[in-house]
Amino acid sequence: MINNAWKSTCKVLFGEELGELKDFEGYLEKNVQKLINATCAISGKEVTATKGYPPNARFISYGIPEYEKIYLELNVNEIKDIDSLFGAIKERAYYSGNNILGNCKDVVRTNKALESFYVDGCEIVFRGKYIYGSEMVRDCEYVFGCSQTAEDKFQIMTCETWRNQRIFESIRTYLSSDCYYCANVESSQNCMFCFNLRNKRYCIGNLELSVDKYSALKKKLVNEMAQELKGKKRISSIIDVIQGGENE
Amino acid sequence: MNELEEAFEKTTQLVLGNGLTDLNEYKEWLEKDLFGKIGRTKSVKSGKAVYFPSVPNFERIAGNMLTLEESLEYGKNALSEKQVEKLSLKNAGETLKGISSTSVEVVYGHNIGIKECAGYGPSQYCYRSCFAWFDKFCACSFWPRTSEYCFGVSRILDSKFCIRCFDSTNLTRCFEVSDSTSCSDLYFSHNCENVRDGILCFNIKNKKYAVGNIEVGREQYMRIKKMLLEWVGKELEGKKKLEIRIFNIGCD
Repeated sequence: MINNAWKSTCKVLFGEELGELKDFEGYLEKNVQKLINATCAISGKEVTATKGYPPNARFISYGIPEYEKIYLELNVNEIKDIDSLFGAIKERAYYSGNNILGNCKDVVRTNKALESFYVDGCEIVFRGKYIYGSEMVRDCEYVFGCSQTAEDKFQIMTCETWRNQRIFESIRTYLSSDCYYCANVESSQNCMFCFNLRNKRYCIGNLELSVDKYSALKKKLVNEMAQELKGKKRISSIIDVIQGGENE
Repeated sequence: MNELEEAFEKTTQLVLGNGLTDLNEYKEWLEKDLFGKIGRTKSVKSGKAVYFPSVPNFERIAGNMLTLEESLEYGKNALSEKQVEKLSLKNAGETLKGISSTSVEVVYGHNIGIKECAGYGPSQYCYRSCFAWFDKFCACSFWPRTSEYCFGVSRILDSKFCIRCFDSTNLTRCFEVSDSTSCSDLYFSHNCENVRDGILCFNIKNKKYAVGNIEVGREQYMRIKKMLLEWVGKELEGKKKLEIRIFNIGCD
């Protein structure tokens, strides 16, 4: 399902499919900083957990019933100082992964999802549908490789975005639609390679164009992006552009 | 800053039983496990201080940032029509150099007493925090939202009087807690729900006066809590940090 969602999103943004989702894993998963694969200390099965723990930390899968049976007693009279307190508890310290809560379906390789459907390789997803390789997502649909995104639809490789539709390789973009390679743009539509704009339409390089001129240039540029992605399965990022060139 | 110092002292008194002063002495410890700390760079235009959330994407462009105000003025720069016609992916970095300096700052609504924050509003008395939305008296934090009197917290929602709490919602008077919801007076605990007065609890729900997931009764709980907080107070006053954190319990 999520592979089909990827293809649909590519069609929406680029006018054509670009290939299978699995071929773009390396490109799309760059924005997920906090996921690790661990092993459930009780069942031995794979657990998707959040980074930040020492190598010898123990993990369990969320809600595993066997955990409750492990420690039924504690002799509190033996707890007389800090060392005895932490010593008594040490064996009970298991961190949880695979936290999938509420009404969810087809959520895999993900930690901390709530009320979400068709999610893969993500961390913190609230009410998301068709989300892949993303982190800190709220109320979004068809989002791939994004970080800190809320109330967005049809986005690929964005960071810190809110209430947008059809956005590609952009950061800090709010209330906008049909934007490619933009940064610090708000309340704008049909912008490509634009920076620091408010309330603009049909702009490339911050230059406002006629609808016809914009459409013709957009077609050329979007086609170039599509061919690059189809061929190399990756593309320069908005970050590379702001840094002044290709860095990957 | 005075208001925040008072808030810090008040919060530590309430949660740890010992009011700590001079917030800056504890900032390294408070910020240790945040998803992203506050980053600081200089505007490429004016040299003024620019604060940004220190997440990888933004760190990479720290050398090409402006203040928010400068960026809106800078946004009036544009390519020429000839440059637009020749623009391609290959030459984008070079062609756009004159207009691609940017800002990631967001200031929303009316704010009071905000210092060294990146992305905030409408909030009051926040310091060294990223994405402080609808907050009061928060410092050294990442994405506290609709919370107050929180210090060293990361990705928490609807919480009050918390110190070093992470990825949680609806916490009150908690210390070193992660992945928990609707808990109060909880210490060094992970993945708890509806736990009131708990110490070193992991993956449990609906407990009261619990130590190591076992309900031990009020008397024993208060004895252990007193012992724990005395140790915490002594360590913090002396070293300004604790070696034991919620992320390394039981991991020698």
